[in-house]
This record gives sequence, C-alpha cells and structure tokens, in this order.
Amino acid sequence: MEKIEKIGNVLLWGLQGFLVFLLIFQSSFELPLAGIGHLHPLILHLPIGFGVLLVGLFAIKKQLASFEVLAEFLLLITAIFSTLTAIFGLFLAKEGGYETSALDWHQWSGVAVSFVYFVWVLVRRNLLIGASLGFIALLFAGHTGASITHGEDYLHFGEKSTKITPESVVFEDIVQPILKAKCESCHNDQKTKGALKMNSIANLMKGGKHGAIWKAGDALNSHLIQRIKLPMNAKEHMPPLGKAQLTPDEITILALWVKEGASFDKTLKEFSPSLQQLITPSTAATATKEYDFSAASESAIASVNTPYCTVYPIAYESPALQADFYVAAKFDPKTLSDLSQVSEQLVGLQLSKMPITNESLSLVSKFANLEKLNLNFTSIDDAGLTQLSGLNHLEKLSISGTKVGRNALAQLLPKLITLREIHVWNTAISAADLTSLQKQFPKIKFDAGYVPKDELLQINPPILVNENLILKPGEKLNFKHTLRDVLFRYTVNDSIPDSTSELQTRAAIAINNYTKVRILATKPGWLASKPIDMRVYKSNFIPSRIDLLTKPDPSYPATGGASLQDFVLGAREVKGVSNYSWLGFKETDLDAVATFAKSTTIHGVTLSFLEKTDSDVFPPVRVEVWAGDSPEKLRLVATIKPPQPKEKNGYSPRGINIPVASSPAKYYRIKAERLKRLPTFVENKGKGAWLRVDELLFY
Amino acid sequence: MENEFFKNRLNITRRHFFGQAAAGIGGLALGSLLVPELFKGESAGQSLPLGVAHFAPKAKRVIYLCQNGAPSQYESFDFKPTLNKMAGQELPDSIRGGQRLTGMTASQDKFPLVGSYYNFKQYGKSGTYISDLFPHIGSVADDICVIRTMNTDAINHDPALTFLQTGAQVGNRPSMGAWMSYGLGSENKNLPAFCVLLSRGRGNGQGVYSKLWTNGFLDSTHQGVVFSSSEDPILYLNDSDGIDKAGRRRMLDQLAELNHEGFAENKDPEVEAKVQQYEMAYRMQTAVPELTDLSKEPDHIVRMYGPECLVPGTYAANVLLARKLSESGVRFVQIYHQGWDSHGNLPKEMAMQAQDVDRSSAALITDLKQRGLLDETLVIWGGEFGRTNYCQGQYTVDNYGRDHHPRAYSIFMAGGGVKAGSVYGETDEFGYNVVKDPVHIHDFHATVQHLMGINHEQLTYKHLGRRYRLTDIAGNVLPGLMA
Repeated sequence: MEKIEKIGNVLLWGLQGFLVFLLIFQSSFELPLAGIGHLHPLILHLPIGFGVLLVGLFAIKKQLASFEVLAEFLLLITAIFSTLTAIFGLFLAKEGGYETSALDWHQWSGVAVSFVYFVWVLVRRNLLIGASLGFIALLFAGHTGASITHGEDYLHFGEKSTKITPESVVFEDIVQPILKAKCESCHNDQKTKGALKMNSIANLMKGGKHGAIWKAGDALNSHLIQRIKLPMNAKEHMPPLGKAQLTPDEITILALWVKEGASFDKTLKEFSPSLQQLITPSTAATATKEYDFSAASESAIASVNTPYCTVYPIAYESPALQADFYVAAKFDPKTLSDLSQVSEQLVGLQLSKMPITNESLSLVSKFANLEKLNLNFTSIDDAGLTQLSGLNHLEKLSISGTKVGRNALAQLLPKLITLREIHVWNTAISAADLTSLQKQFPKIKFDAGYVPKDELLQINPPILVNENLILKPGEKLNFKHTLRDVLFRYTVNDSIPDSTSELQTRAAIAINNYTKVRILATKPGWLASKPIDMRVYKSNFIPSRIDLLTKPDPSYPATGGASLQDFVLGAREVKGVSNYSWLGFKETDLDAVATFAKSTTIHGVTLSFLEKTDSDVFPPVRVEVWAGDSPEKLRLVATIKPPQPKEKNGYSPRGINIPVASSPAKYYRIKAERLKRLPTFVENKGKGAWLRVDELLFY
Repeated sequence: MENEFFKNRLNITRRHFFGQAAAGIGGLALGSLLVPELFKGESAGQSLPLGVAHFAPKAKRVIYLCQNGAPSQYESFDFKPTLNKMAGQELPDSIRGGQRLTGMTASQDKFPLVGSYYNFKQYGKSGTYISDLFPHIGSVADDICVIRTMNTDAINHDPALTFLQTGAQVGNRPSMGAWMSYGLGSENKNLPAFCVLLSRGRGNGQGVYSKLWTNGFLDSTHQGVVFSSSEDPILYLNDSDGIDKAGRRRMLDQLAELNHEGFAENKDPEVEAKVQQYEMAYRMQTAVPELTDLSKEPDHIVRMYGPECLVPGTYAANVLLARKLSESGVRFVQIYHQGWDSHGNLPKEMAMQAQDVDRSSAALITDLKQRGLLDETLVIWGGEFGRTNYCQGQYTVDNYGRDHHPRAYSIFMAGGGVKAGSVYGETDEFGYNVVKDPVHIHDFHATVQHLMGINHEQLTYKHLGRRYRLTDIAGNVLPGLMA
C-alpha cells in the first residue's frame, strides 16, 4: 500500500511540474502529440467522480474502519487525475476554436482544482475542508467547461437564451450568432485572416481579399457558401480543419439566408417555410400539433394494423395516431375494439362506408382524444350518435349519407364544445333544420353539400349489352343503363322516338329480322338521351351448310360459303391489310345454296351487303330466292330489287329482308345479281360494280 | 476524417455509459457531454424515415386533373382585356424579350395579338375572374386558388409534361405520385398508392406515355397503375373458372415461397416487390368491385358530375372514379385529359374541351367538401404550359390559334391547405410575363410536397452515386399559396 502511495506521490509531483511548465510556456510550445487533447473529455469525468466520492465518504465516516487510509488514497487519485485532466485540457485548448474568455475561466478553474487537491495531498490535515474546496472548484470548472461545449445556455433546458419567434430578425438572432461562434475567432479586429472581418454588418459587406463574400439571392455562387461546402480536407474549406465546424443545420441556414436575399432586417416569418422549419420547428407554418400524451409503443401500433385498417402517426415523432378503415366487405368489429390499445393516442378515425352500427359507436366514444371522425355512409342513426357526447376534443365530424336527423344533433352538439365543422350532406336533416341548427350553434360550420339545382340534364344513352349484333335463334336485343328506373324508347322506322312512342322497354327487345333500331333512354326529371342507331340482324333458322355455286373474286374469297353464316359482321377494310371478312364478286354474280338438315318453313331471307359507292361497291340489283326439297327441283319463291344509291357514299354496310311465302323446303338457293354498269356519279361510270356480301340469314 | 473517427469512438463510450447507468454519478449526463450533437435528434444531412410525414400534413392525398396539351390561360383564368383592345396589333418586342419560338410559329412574320373569344365574369366573394367557358368552376371560385404565374423551362409538350410530372425534362425520374408513394406509403393497403386514369377530349390531342407515371429509379411498387377506360377499370381481377378463393390463396403462398427462395439467392429487391404486388392484387379482388360499383351512388351525384360520369372512359367518369379512389385512401390519383393543344380553331376546340371538364371538375371539389374530405385532399387542375397571346396561323374574329408559351400560365388548386378563394401571382397586361410572385415548376413541386407534410429537401433517393429529389437542387415552398 505504501509502495503504491509512494509511486502515486511521485507521479503527482511529476505531473504538477509538467502542468506548471505548460502554463508558463503555454503560448510558445508546439504540440508534440496531435490529438492527445481529445483525451480531455474522456478522463475529465474521473476527477469529478472521485471528488464527489471523497466528499461523500465523510457522510459514512463512522461506518468505515480505515477511513483515513481510504480518504487519503482517494485524495491522491483525485489529485493525479485532476492534474492529468488539466494537462490534456491545455493540449485541447491549444488546438483552438474556442471562445477565449470562456476558455480562460475554464482553464484557470481546472488548474485550481488540481492545485487544491495537490496541496491537500501535501498537508494531509483537515481533509474535509480540502475535499469541499476541491469539490467547489470542480463544480465551477465543470460548469465553465460545459458552457464551452454546449453553449452558455446549456442549463436552460429546451429553451434558447434568445427566444426565436416569427418576428425575430433572422440576421441578428440567427445568422450573426452562428458567424460569431464559428467564424469570428479568425475574422475579427485582432485576427483578420484573408483580410476578412466578420464582426459587423459593415465589415461583412466589405468582404475580404476576394471581394464580396456573398451574392444576395444566389447561394451557389456565393464565396461564403462555396467555401463552407467544400470537402473537409480541401485546403480552402471553412472553418479550417481542426476548428469548430458548422453543423449541417447551420450550413443550410446560412445558404437559405443568402439564397433568400441575405437581408439584415427581414424577420423569420418573411422567409420561406424551409428556413422557418429549420429554425423553429414548433412555431413555423409546418408546426405539428403538440400533445400531452406519450406515444404508443411500436409494437402496439403494429398489432392494431391489419390489411384493412391502417394506423399511423400523423407525423414524424408525433405521438398522435390516425386510423383508417377500408374495404367494407372485410370489416371486422374486433379490429375496432383492438384500437382501445391506442385509445389515448387516436386523434383521427375514418370509418366511412364501413358496416358499423350503433354498437360500434360505443367503442368509438372511448377514444377520448379524437379530433376528426368520419362516419359517412354508415348505418348509424340518432340513437347511436348521442353516444359520442364524451368526445370533447372533437373538431370535425362527418356524417354525410347517414340516417341522422335534427334531434340527435340538437342533443349532441352542445356537448361537443370543441366542434367547429360538421358535414351533414345527404342526411335526414332538412334545409329548415339546418337553418335552425346553424342559428343555435353559430360557431359550428354546417356543410349541407350539393343541393340539386332545377336544371334539366340530358341522361346518357342506353348501353348495349349484346356483344354481337347478329342475334341467334331465341336471342333478344338487350340494353342496360347506369342510372336506375330508366325507360328505353325506340323506333324501327328511322323516326326519332319520343314520349308518344309506343315501343318502349326496360331491358330487352325482340327482333324478328334485319331491323334498324333507334333507341334512347328516358327518366323522369331528366332530358331524354341522344338516340343511338344500330343495325340488328336476326337468324331464326340455321342451315347445316351453305355452298357457293359461283366463284368469288380471288381478292375477296373470305372463307367461301361458310363465311355467309359465320355470325361475324364484315369489318371495315384497312389500307394495306387484306380483309377476308367480305365475299366479293366482280366478274360473276353470287349464287349460293343453303342446305337444311330437314325441310324447314322460313319467313324470309336476310342478305347483308356492303354499299361503298366511292369504291364501286354497290348493292345487288336483283335478289332471287329459290326453294325446294331437292337441289334439282327448285322453284322461284321470291324476287326483290334493292333500291340503288343516288349519290357517292362511303362505307355503309346494310342488310335487306326478302320475305318468302311459307312452305317447307330443305334447299334454298339465293342468286344476287351485281350491277353491270356503274352510274354517272362515280369515276368508273359504265364499268361493272363490285358486289360484296357478308351474311345470309334465315328468319 | 479524424473527427468522425473520434465521434464514432465516443458513441461507443456513450452506449457503455448507458449500459451501466448505476456506475457513474449522472452517467447519462456525462455521456451527453461528450458529443454535443448527440441529443439534438436528426441532423439535416440525414434523410428522415419513410412512410411517415415529416411534419403534420395539410393534405393527405392528391387528385391531379392534368389538362394535357396546355389549355389557354387567356380563355380560362387570366383575364386580359388589353389583348381584346389591341387585337390584330403586333406583340411588342419589349414584351417578347427574345423568347424562343416553337417550330410551328418560328417562320411566322407577324405576331398579331388576339384577345379571348369568350367573356369573363367575376365569381364568388373572392371575385375571381373566370371565363364563360367554365361556369361550374366559377361556382366554386371561393374554394380554389388560381395561380396565374406558373412557368416552366420547356416549350414542347413531351419535355414540358415530363418536367411537370417528374421534375426533369428527360424521362428517367420518378413521377410526383411515385415520390408520394415512396415517401408516405399507402393509406389503403388494398389499392395501389398511385393510380392513373386517362381520357381523351375532342380537341387536338397530344400523347401521354408511361414515363409520366414511372417509378424511375424507385422500387417498382411505386409505379402509377393505369386503369382501363372500359367498364372494368382493372382487368383480370376475377379468378378464372375453376379457381376458388382458397385455391388462389394456396397458389399465392406456394409462389411466394419459391420467390423467397429466389430472393435469398439473388437478393434482387424486385423479387420482394413482386410478392407484395401479388398480395395486393389478391386483396384488390375484394376492394375494387366495392370501389367501382356505381349503383350505390345517389342520383344527385350523377347530377353533380353530369350524366357522362356513367360512361366509362370519359373525363367525368374518371373524375368520379378518382374521388372514389381518393376517398378509399389512394395517395395520388393522376388524371390526364387530352385535347387542349389548340394551335388552330381554338374557340371551338376550347369550348368542347371545357364542356368535357367544367362540370365534373367543379363537382369533384363540391363532392369532396360535402364529405369533409376537401381539407385533406389537394386537387390540382392545369396543364404543362400556357399558350401565346398572339395568333398562330390566320387570324379572324371568330377563329384563331395559339402556340405554346412557357413563361406564364394559369392553373388552379383547391383543398389540402391551399388558400381558398384567392388568386396568386400577376402577369403583365399582355399576360406574357410574370410581374409578381412567379411559380416555377420546382416551386410548385416543393409546395405540393410541403402540403403533403414532406420537406422536399429531405425526401431523397440515392441513385448512381448521388441523391435525387423531386425538386432536384431547386424549388422554394411558397407560403403565399397556403392557407
């Protein structure tokens, strides 16, 4: 033990000598060990701890058998470490970057600590006085040291010494203190690096040896910002390596200040929200409301999240939560009751369109901090709503599309003292109710939403359901509409349907043969829709096969006879793309035989053809229908001469019905004669026309 | 470097202090003495966590009614009687100020000024001037903020629209919607966070391309999902014949297992993204039919939006669907309506276009409002640039055209923290140049992100060695636009 003490004493003397040497030659010594000063913050806590322990030891003096030995030993260790701390501190101070006056106070108080302990190690008497003196010196040194590291106001927890408000002058209260702390030590009247002084507005404006240090409004081209933003190891980087550096926030503040005009007198509220946000996160326009309650645990938040209920903090680091329910079909009341885990934090709840009932509302009423509640289009009613009377933080309530009426509101609203907005569109509340409620609660904004005007709007046309306009046996023409209670009116004679039209339907129209249908939608309170026109084909009897007796033109072969009953309407020709859906005849006429499985009585034949006179495609001039039970013995049963176009037209597919006197037959032969001499209104007048046919249907 | 190392070492020391709290007098306080920045929270250099707003947002969702092709500000929201007075006279050089021209009017030897064919009226308490083509939008004038000083860098549709949507003229950056999806995540996990709806008007149209709603370098889950303009907005959602729900579930589970194996091997994040997409598609099978069911809409909804809203693929139908999507928590609904590129025949084309969009655009605002959703939904209406104050082609009293103009044009915004019933910015009497409060596309992006609770400088993504943001290295949040 004595040996240790001896070594300790020697060490202490040595260190004290070194300390005195450093103090004397402080201004002239060179740093032999760069960075050794960084040990100062590491070990400074040891003498603090030992010093406090030493004082504390006196409190339990009587319980200790060898108090004197322990106390003296502790005193020695404290003295050694306080001396070491002072030495490292001097090295650290040598690295520079500290405010001189504060540094002086800290330096001499630190040295005082080590001297006090050192002296008492020597005198070894009245230990309590020494320990107390040392402790007081420690407190003072600790305080001055903390002031250097954390700023002089480090003890003012959560509050800066100058209170920044939106009215604070940004230069004076924010920018200048940064320059003072980080730039002025090398750019002042005593020390003027780069011929730049940064200690007054006038000096700042004067600039340094490179001229002006900023260009108002252009941070990127400002010398000051450029130098600050250079990489740490660049020679030109400011503040120089080893000096106290600007924090990223401070850099952004300086850059934004320059970018936004480098004004000396503009106040914070005149700057952009980016700057405001950076400086006073709690007072800027972006302020996130503060709450008294603490945040829910992450695991609690995770446990109440489901694919159909999203619970999330309203903003980063805010304890307040919002819960949104989606997908009515997957609504689970349990998910709602689970939310009680975060009932304190819940400030927003969206339940619109969810199948919640009055019972669910008793759960909702437990979320006492709710500010916004969306109950639109739910099945709640008056009885349910009154349960919400305990929500005395509620600011906004949406009950659009519910059965809620006036009485429930009149009862509930006096209790919701914080409510300022309620949405009651499409509820049982009448316009008169609303006026009286508004009178009764002038502070609440009632939103009744859209009130239908007396204007007549045109309803949209019927929507055709059938995918194919060639109807098969038994098939009807079907329409639908996206509005309810719509009546369709139609004509089949090219006239426009009106309210006197007898032909009307809610869905299906029976069609017997090729028909031009013109249909529109009507609904009370609306203007009738635009009419839509369509050509509908109908097949009532399907032959087992159709054979061509004449050969179609090689450029329009389609699929031969089969294409006459493929139930696919001919398509418009696209230039350069061969179109095989039309059968074309140029040098011959159409001559085809349809064979039925058994003798069939038909009422007529429909032939669909193309009229496109600008391409020499004309209707047939004459169509004959022959019938009989053997192919050799057919008789002419019908002849028709389709009307011919009188002028040039474009693509116009159409059909023609050829009625047949009823008598059963197994074979039907159709001859369609093409136009031999084109009329004078087309270029190729006098030449032969094209005949193009598509379907051959039997009704 | 030395400093960083030092700080790092001390961090370990701090943890040590915490670990043995009993060991020292005020060990916690001592630890804090070592590194001053320690308890100050995030420093500006670091990005904030994803999936949560940086600060309390004004708007939670965006519905962007993009009027593709550039509607003329002179026949909509920027009333310039001077142009009517000076119609036919040359645009003064002092006003044009060397503005470059498009290839379409560069060879014109005259630039005759042309005033609006349509009259303007003042609407609402705010007295905002709006042209007679948009009476319904006029009826909600007190809910909207007209910006008359939008300006952009591009002069042709494709780069301008790409710039408007992605913040860059070259199409490799994420779209606004993709950034929102990336930064804020999805409110409703059963629908994509970013949906795109397309419609075509009757005026001269310009194309839209998938690069406008791309995720760019972000994860592909943030890509805009384009809805079909048929009756079935999302195709192939139904299970095929012979597959029931349970079978589908088993199939997805097996597939996910295989994909996880693949991911373990190649570590490609797109594999995980794919698994998530399958899962969402599975949940969409329930969510979507509920959403697209129009039968539950009351009749007067149809009266508000106009009967066209029941015809799939029309602008009105898309706006109604957008409201339903947004109401269901879709973060960003992007609508494009084509047909505003009136180089000629402007009075007629513009009237047809206005007829398509006026009623339903206004209805959207009223509808959101009556549901209590307008204050949390940001509605944006406008195109990629404006049109010239001089005539393109032959000028007659009732027929004229206007070329592209990037220096000043009008849009409007509503809801979501925007200053309602206001007009922002001023153009000169020719409407050609901004004289007060310009809103550059970057500023517009910064402000929209701000309204969504995002600090536009802190929502970044590192790609090819540097960090990107929607506003890249520019953009100012404009407090004057905000309530």
